Amino acid sequence: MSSYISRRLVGLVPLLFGISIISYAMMGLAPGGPAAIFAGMARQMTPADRAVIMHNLGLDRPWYVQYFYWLKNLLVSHSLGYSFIDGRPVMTKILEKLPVTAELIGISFAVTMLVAIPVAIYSATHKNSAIDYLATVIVFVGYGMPIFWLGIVLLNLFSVRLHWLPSSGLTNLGVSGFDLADRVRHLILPVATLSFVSLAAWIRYQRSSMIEVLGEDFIRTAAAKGLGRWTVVYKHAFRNALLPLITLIGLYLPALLTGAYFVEIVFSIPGMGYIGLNAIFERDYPTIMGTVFFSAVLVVLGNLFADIAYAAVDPRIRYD
Amino acid sequence: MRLTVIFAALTLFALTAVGCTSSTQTSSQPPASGPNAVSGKPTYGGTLKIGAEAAADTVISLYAHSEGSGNDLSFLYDGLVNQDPNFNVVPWLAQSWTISKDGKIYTFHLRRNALWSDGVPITSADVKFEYDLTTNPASNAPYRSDYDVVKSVATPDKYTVVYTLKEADAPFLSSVAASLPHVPLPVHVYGKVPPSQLAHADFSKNLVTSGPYTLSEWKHDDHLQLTSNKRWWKGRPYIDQIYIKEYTGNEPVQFALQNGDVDTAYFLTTAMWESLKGDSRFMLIHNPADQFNWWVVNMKNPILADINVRRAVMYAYDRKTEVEKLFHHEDVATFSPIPWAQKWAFDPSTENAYQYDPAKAQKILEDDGWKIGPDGYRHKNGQLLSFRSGLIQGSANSVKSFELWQANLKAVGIKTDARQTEFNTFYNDEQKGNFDVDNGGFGGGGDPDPFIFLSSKAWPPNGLNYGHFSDPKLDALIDQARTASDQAHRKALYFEIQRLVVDDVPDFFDAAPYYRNVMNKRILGVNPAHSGSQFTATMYDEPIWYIAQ
Repeated sequence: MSSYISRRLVGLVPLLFGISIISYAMMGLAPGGPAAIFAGMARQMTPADRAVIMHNLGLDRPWYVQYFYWLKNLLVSHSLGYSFIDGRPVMTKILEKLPVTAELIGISFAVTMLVAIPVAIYSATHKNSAIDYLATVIVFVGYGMPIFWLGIVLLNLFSVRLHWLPSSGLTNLGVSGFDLADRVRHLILPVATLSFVSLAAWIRYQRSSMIEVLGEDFIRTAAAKGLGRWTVVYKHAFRNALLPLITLIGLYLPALLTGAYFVEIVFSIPGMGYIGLNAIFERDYPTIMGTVFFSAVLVVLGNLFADIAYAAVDPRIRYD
Repeated sequence: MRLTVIFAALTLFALTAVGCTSSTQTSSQPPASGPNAVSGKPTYGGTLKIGAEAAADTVISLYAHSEGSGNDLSFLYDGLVNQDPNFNVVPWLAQSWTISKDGKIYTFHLRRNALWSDGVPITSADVKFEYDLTTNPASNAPYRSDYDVVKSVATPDKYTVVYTLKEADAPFLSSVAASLPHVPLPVHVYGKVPPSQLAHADFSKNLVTSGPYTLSEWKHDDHLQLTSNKRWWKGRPYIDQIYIKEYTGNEPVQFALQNGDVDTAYFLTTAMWESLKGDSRFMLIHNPADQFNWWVVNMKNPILADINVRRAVMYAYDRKTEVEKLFHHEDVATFSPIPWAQKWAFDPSTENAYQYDPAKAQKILEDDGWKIGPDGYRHKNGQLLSFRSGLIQGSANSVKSFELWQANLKAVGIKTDARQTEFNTFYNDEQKGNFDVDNGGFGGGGDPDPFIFLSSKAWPPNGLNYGHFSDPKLDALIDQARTASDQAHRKALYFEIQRLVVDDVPDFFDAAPYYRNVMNKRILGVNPAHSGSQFTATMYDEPIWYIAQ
């Protein structure tokens, strides 16, 4: 097992290298440049003076040379550089926003599970019932709906028209310190948006996994030896049906992370997606690279973790 | 207080979003004679809440490169001199100044009672320190070009600063000495940081400031909290706290204003103004802006280099319909390179230049040899009369303008297509000369001088004359106006410049917009007539505003 983990960790190095170089190339080849900072922003800033600043920031070099320095900086001084916009270390900016994104993802994931699993089990055990059909409809709607659109619709309905819930941010103006009730009110819409879209996938996977397990011989055996329906479904079928879902967690992490970024933009929540998107608009290269690279690391580690967890809970699986 | 914040590009960006609404407001305006005091005496206390549409970048004035940060910092830092809402230069940290006869030596005398927020006196060393820092390439300060005109800075004693200029430069006071990026900086604090590290230093917990407020809390991408500076040389401001809430975009700011979460905003879009101006909880602020809208023209394009084509375009363009029908009188059609808020230099007769006259446009083109072809457009020597119109993506107003523009030009046989690019690409292309005509706005400099975009000495890389326009006569007039020290003389020269610009059509000047804002009536002592042409001008009076307790 430990040799498997170390092999996988070594494999991450070229993977992350590839991700970073492709990201940097895409960024470097995109039209425009950090013009907002260096263009006509200062009325009197002449192109000659702008050239001095571009040189100081290394922007007068081709993207692959810039990439080399970015990589060197990361490997030698473990730094993601400084933001062009506010001059702060990118690492600091990201670590400041990470808890916000993690909170959003964590709560949404918990909500998704709490809703998806009971619904899926009910659907699987009551195939073709009204609730099963309803769940299928939700699955299709959820699959088809762009997350940013759903967010705007919910925001417009519950915040702008009905005034039930706040429209943006994580705290009310002037609330100092942590106020649980205020935080919950602010999280309802973003979490609902993010969860609804993930719900579709989870109900579908869990339902089909359950149906598959329920058709297995050992379930028939369990039922035949006189066990109660509850015991058969939850103790025998559900536990086995959960196994494939552990892999799904790993695979689903990128979607969850991207979804969270969209939700942050729609609801003005200052998380990683929020700073990442602003950085793209402002061509703040170090911050763009920082958020992209950091997200990549999270996704890759999430996948690795899922694979390991899979082996840990299922004794039939061995990595040797 | 008002410190000139110079952000042409953001102004451009904002301007394309500014532009339009109907001007039926009047009812809620108080008498112009006095402040909006309802009753009672001003009292200390309370919190003024401001909604910003974007997050602050920095609290170090040297690096304030977004308009939002510039607005935040105008509460925190004082300049040597300041401009009142009518653009008069007034004493500030310098209680007086003299200008030598040849206009090259500016001597400032600092007031003795001004202190940094940590109690250290503000001296000439702090003034020179800012100059040294800005001109040091290692600091990467974006406003270095402002000092291109300065030869040296001397500090003969603790309270005297002498700037020696390379040549006389009348805009120096308003464009440099009064501008935010060039406020004195505390040498006893920033002097300890290597210049190359200053941009990365974190002063958010212990910022030393000179203005009416100090920074008490900065939660990145969320809010700034400012506390009144009890040591301020003009006396303690009435309002104790300013809470600047940072939103993402304009819609959340509008909701916040409507919910009463914030009292005022940094910037209102047309849509926001339209939905807020009828709300009786707000006092309306509505003044000529320090900006103008234009289509920048690239003279490297042979079709546009032809003055007859340029004149024909102006006669063909129905700007009156544009400002009255499309933009509900929220700007006024003018043909001037000087923002109309610069009242002393702005020639009102430019409002009559190039009245809509398509027949005249047709005749000019016909005489110039451009003949209508079977496709309905004009041609000369096999060449189609056509150019591209550059627009910034996402600006609904510039699309609205373009539709009329395209139809107007088509009516006289000129073909134009839109080229929409996102604003980073837009400016990059403009700098590289990769454009025909570009829609936008300009201004915010606090001085009428059009040198930087009209003089042939300001061709890239020395200035922002990206269209490479050149007229030696205009160059000479601009230089004279820059070096004339007497305002009456400058005024005469700027009127002459405006007449020449009407003749030359160096760019397609379009309209002069209004600056609009709303202020919750909870805030007392606000005089909208004294609120000026941009947010920082509105805040000039802020220390005397108050909240009823």
